[in-house]
Amino acid sequence: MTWLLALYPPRWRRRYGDELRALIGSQPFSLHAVIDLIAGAIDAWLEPQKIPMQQDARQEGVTMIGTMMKLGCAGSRVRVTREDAWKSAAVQLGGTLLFTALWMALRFRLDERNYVNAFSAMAFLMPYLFSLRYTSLKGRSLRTQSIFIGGMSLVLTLILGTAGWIASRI
Amino acid sequence: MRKADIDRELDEFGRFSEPALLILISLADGPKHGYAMTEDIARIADLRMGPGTLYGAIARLEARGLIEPVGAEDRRNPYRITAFGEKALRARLASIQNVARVGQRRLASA
Repeated sequence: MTWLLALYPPRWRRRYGDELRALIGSQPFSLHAVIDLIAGAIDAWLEPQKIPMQQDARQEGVTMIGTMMKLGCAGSRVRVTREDAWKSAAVQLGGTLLFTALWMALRFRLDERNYVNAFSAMAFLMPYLFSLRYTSLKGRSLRTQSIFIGGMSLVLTLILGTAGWIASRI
Repeated sequence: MRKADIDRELDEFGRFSEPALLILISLADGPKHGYAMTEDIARIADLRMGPGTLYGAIARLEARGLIEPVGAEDRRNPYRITAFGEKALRARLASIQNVARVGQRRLASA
């Protein structure tokens, strides 16, 4: 998973890269950790912190109230409640049914079966991505969630589109 | 600090996010590096914090002077809570305790 560090801003990597690499290396691979790292990288780009370069750096003229007002941490509400789990399941189930119905309708109407077949995986993957709003992406800003879900949807579309293109030429 | 400031300050602690609060609590009994913090938080709060979330919170806490690196012996680099961070943590915990006390009292009288 250490390759995911390449997604972080260079300045951030210089300061925390080694530590985060050590932490990742001590944990087993998990999909949750991958999503968490990607969302963390998006946060780091969108809300760059003032990275202290000296260990004894002291801030001056900062009141505690001001500090706490600004302390909107990445993944702040990370606890997934039972309600979140139900919402996530509803989005996955409802979305999969909806996308499957759409896919079946397209399959009967379109001649380009290779492309339509290639995109069948989207019926599950798209609802799964959206359901992450209630689990792994919970507490992230709307911008971070949008970039993650939109970016991953784009990547999936490109991969499946390429698969359809290859299938149509075999 | 005036009483009104402290009251207002406690109101604003509501914005103190859970990962940052848990990190401060974890560091309250001594310096720890990322892995030790993750394990400690999993033990005390039954919550396994992802590496991206942990370091997102660490970066914010450090940028605001609530924690500081101890000095790296190896690449894991432990952190400790600062006096400013300790003051913030005490105030936040007092606020939570106050809310919990009121809640318990109301439940008892219901």
